[in-house]
Amino acid sequence: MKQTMYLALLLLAACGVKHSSVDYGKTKVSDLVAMKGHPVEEKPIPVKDGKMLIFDNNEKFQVKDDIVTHGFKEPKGDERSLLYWKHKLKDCDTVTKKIAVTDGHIAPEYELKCSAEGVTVIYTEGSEFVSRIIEHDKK
Amino acid sequence: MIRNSTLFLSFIFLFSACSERSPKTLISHFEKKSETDKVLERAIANLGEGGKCLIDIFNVDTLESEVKELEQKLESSPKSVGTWKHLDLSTLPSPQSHFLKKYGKDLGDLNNPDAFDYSSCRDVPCIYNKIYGKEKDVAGYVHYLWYLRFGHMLAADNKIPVQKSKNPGEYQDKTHSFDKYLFSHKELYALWRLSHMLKAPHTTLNYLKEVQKIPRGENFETASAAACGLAYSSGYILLTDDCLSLSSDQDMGFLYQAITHELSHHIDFESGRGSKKIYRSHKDDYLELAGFFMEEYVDKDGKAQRRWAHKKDIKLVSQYAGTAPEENFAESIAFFRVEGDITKKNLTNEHYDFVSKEFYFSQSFERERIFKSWIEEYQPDILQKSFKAVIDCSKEKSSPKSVYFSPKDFSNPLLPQMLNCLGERALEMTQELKNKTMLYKPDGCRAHNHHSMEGKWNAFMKEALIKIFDKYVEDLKKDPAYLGRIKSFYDDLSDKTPAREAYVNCYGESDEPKCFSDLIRKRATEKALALNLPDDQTNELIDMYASYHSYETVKDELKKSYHDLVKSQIEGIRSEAKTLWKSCEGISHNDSETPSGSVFQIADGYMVSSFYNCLNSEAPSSIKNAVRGISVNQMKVQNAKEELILFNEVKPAFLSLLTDIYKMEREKEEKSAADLLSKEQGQLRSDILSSFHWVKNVVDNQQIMSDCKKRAYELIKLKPLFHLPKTLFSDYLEKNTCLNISTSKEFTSWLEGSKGQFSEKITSGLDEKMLIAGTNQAKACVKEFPVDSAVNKIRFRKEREACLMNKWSDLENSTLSEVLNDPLVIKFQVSSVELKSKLELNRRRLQLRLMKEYFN
Repeated sequence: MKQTMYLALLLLAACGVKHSSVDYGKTKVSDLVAMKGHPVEEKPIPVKDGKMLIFDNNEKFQVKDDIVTHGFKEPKGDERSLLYWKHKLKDCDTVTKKIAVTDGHIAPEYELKCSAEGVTVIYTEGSEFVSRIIEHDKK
Repeated sequence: MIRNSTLFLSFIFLFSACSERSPKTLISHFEKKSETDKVLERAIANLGEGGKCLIDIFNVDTLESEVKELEQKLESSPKSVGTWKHLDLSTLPSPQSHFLKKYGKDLGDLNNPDAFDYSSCRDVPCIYNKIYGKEKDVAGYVHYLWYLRFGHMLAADNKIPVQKSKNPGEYQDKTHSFDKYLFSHKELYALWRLSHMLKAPHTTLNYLKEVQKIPRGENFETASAAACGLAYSSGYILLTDDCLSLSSDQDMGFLYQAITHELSHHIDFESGRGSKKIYRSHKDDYLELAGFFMEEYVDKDGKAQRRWAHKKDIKLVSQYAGTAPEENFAESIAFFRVEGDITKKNLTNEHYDFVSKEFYFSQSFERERIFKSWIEEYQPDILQKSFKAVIDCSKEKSSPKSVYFSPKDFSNPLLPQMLNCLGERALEMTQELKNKTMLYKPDGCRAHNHHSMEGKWNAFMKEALIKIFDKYVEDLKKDPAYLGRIKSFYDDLSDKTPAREAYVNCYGESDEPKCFSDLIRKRATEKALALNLPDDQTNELIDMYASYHSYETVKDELKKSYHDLVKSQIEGIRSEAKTLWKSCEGISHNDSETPSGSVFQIADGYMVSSFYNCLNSEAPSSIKNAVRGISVNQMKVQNAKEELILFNEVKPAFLSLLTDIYKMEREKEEKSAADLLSKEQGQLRSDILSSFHWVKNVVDNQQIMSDCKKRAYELIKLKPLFHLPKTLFSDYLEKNTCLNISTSKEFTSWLEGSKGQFSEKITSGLDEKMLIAGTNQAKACVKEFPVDSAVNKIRFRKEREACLMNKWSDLENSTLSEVLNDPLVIKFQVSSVELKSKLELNRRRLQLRLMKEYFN
């Protein structure tokens, strides 16, 4: 009986969701590497003293002066739905901005930003799907 | 036992998948209604001479016959009920009644519904022709045929779906005459030709509602002048003049590529839906195939920046295809269809094969390939004519001299008169099929008349005919009765019913093409064996049968057929959608659960979670009901596989109807909210100012505004189901109800009366802040001088206490300075002396508490 319980606990621990404990604006690159391992790739970005650290599963972290400022994540499950985010952030004073002006034949992308929760989601005008989640410091 | 059960189930499944005794399919009944879909071919008979092109039969008679043919196929019950102006919808052919029910409000001059006199019209083409100011013209038929073939409207009205002005006829801040919204005669021909060029998936888009041209001479209001077409996932395609340009040869021009490109964006949207991505082109496999990746970052102003980049060695059909994966996707698919030879050169083989397989049922459109595919397509006809030619020529005693064939073309020695006779027949067949393809095929004249193709048609036909003739001659030599025996086999070749049944029965199998091929070969074998031929001849017949009924061809045809079948049953599906909406509307609503499920979605709109979750959980069973309600000639769906196919076809149509209801209800709710606010006359502000429990902060005006709005949402009786309260009311509340609320008489008076309470709040806040600062310091001291063992506890005791005490004064000063900057302290002018004495009073008690908690 005890063994089964331990096994169940072990299984729970193994399968449990690992939440990111990055404290944006405070966590250093060394702490990030300790948490997630070494990035697959590092790329320069047009931000002074900034760069992008790229990890598996299209997860990216933007860094400035050795401090992690933003995390870019792929939405999973219900997170892919814009309604999910509108519902989750319904009490937040969100700001919606057009983010890309292209000459394309299709609708532009928008960001829905909630500073208080430290989260921005990217979606396309007229679409129900969220294409990206950006995490940042809470203000 | 488990293994045995699994084995048993596998047998049953295999049996149901492959048994020829599977229940009959609806699609066979449905297709029997339209077996004679050969309007254009019949038109050839009336033309008499060769060298004519598709444009030569672009007339009312041809188009009218096409309409009749398609209407017969799409005729269904129940019909739409109701009226459109003077017309009783139930008396019209079903497709017309469905069209008017769906688009009747969007026809003609939307500023003035009486601008055109439709009173003499009895059908949809006539209505469109009135809009064009014409009688019995091709315009009306092209518009209506577009609907019949594609399932959405080719608009002829003066309101652009996403225009800035609310008024029809206004675009780019100008008023436009109605004729500027209509297509020219040349454009109408090209649109009709394009409707023949494209097949599924271009013709089976479920969420596209209309294709609309903006006023002639104008650019888009919302996009750069460089774009000539825009595709919206909300269901629209907009076109400027540049996307409608044509060459002097009307079978050429940018129109074909541009509209196919915009339609391909919709394929991208719709294929993306199933993959949980916005676009199919954003899936990893396509990004890898096409060579794209995303560059993204947040700029110094905190704004997200996202740009697509591509590999340096990327292969592109056009420069524009390099701007983004979605443009690459649409551009590659459009080029593939319209400029086959250029596409073959400019795409990687992998990319080329992907487009061919995924979007053109493994076809390709290089000119040589087009010729070969026509010869394959007309194979039964060629075989039968060749068969007759060999029999006739074997009896022919004299024939005019022909140099078409030479004796060495054949492996068997042929008498000169037979060679002459076959040459003459071959020439006739080659010319006849050339005339047929020039006229009947939308690519016909372009391919035949291209300078690079001179002589190629004849060469390909000759090559094919030599093989066929040679084989028949050989067979005839071996067995004079052979040709007579296989005649029935050839007669049966064009019957597509067994192939359709095989496709249905293999649907969803792990290897559909193999299952299909096995069934088709099985049937061919049964038929061929009955002829008692030698093995090699039997095998040849089987191969021929299987190659004629290829999996890709049958799949292509059935995709469109099932789409048409569902289109013909739209009223029953609409009724199921309405029933589901009503049942979910009736439950008690709240927005506390997380919205979950993705069967039904609402684009970038909103819906309370109880409603959303109800629709999502119930939609699958409603779709199943809709499928079971489908009937053709009183026959309902009986085949389990077919039910699955129909489920997948009905689903998008059902969800699209549900979305229409959602949009309508959302609009109604918006109107109710506006109505409510226009009548409230300041009552809401009075109610908010009647008590102040909602105030969380008295000095931050932004916070007061936010709290005021929250209180207002509580008080407003209308609890929206399809909007967030802030979307409907925030603007009004900011400008009216909550405007300057903190300077109102009631608010100021309440604040003055509450001064004592606020002072107490400030001092308790000071204590809390000091506790937090002290706790952090105590933790830092423990880190430096640990208490992890009894020895360390004693060894560092003095250092730990000193670490806390020595910092205490700094902690008090920083806490005090923070509190003195608190807007509440400033507002109520609380003195620093008063706060300092409070700190002194609590100092020792707090220090002892922290030491006891963290140092022991």
